[in-house]
Amino acid sequence: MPDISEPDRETADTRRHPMTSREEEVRAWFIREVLPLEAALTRFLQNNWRGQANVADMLHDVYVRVIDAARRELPEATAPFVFIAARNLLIDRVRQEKIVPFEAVDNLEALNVAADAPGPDEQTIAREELRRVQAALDKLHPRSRDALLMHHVEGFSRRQIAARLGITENTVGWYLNAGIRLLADILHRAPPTGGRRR
Amino acid sequence: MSDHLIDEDRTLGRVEAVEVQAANWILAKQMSDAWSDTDQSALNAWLSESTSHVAAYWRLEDTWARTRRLKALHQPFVEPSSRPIWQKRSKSIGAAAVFAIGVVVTGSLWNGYTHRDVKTYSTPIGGHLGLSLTDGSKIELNTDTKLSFLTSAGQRSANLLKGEALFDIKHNASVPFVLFVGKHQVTDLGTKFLVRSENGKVKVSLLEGKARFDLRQSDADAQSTDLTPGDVVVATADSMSVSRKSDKQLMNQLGWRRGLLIFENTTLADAASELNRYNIEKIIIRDPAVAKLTIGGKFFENDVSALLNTAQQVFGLSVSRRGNEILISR
Repeated sequence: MPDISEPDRETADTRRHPMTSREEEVRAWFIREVLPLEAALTRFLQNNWRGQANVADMLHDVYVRVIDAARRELPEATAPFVFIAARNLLIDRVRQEKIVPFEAVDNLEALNVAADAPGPDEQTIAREELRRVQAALDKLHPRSRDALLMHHVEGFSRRQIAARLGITENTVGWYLNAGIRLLADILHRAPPTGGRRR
Repeated sequence: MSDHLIDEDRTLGRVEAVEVQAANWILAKQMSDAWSDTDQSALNAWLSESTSHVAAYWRLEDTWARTRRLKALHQPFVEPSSRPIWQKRSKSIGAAAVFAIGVVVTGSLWNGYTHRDVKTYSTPIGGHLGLSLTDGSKIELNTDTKLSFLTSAGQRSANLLKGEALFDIKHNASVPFVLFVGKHQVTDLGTKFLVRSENGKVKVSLLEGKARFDLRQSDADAQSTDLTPGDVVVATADSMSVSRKSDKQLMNQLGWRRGLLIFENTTLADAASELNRYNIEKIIIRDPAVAKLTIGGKFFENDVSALLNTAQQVFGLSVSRRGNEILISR
């Protein structure tokens, strides 16, 4: 959970509505260790999948499998665990769709999964992260971007954003919804080194 | 997913549909001012329906958390360092002279998700503090004054808790500056104005530009007056009067900016009470006949003895001290 230094709402909520500690552990692990693999995982799926289902859907299905498995037991090493889950999913799909030759999914070693090198210091991460979020925002629809900025930077409520942009609250909801989803793709699928998306 | 606008007519993909729902939950929860236990239960129920919901929710939740970093972009209305641009040290005798003349207190309020920084500036008796705001506005606090800023929330607002301040506000039509004084509020429409709050009485003098004064009798009942330069509003909790002053009279009101009190046909009682605002020593006049005598001239705000000399030499009055009290009598 980021920003623990601040009394944010999430911590308060966790107190009010305690998740089971197991589920909380899985969630923390998922956010900390699985989501950072999304860029590599997306590349892996793109390179190894010729079927009809789209890669974003497959990625989601990998997450579902990984979470279900982690609820039984958290893996020792996350990256191999996730990529094996991805490979298994591909194999299952290949069988279902009966199109892709099997060997297409067999080059796990070729993957460049980032090693756990010691990271830069907190401040550099924070600055870099802010830059990434800003860069990601620029790729959104201007109204999605403005709505998110108004909320996060200026603290506007949905109603205030609606008034400022001259659109209905419902429409603001759409822009925010679309914005946050696209932002998830951009942020999670861009390589952590700050390269380009996909 | 590359189409980030939601097209109602388009059929959402299987995962996309889940993500739209997950995003709606997150936005509802994170932007709500009143997220209740019932809401949380509904969310929990939705999450427990399938791991697919959980995966989408956690992923978007992490995204939302990362966007919170954007808060760092917030340019506080007042410089974050909030160093006063200058401050003047009081020459008056007593403890006040020892203190730094401007005191800044910062704090935070949490209002739903909105993090608001509250900065409070205060001056002691005899103090004078200049503030330069990031938007180019300038504010000067006179003696014994307390002003707090609420930043964030896309607003420019301040609250004059006591004392007197001169506001020179850079106009921004989309983010008007609002000053709260007691229950009243002054909204700038591109303005230089002086506000003084004393014993439940609020006095607003408009020097330049345009401003609106709202007298709040109750929450439902507000009386609004547009001010033009020269207008002086005096409002109590439930009444208000507007008068006009000449440029000269307005300028005289601003003598304090140069450390001066400018009197013109001012009664001795009024002059004394003006001086008393700036000094620990307080002049007391009990005799109504003495109180009604009038004087004129410029006095240094921290120089009580000049007024006492005038009283003694011009009017032949007697002056006696007891502690910090100075009694003028016949």
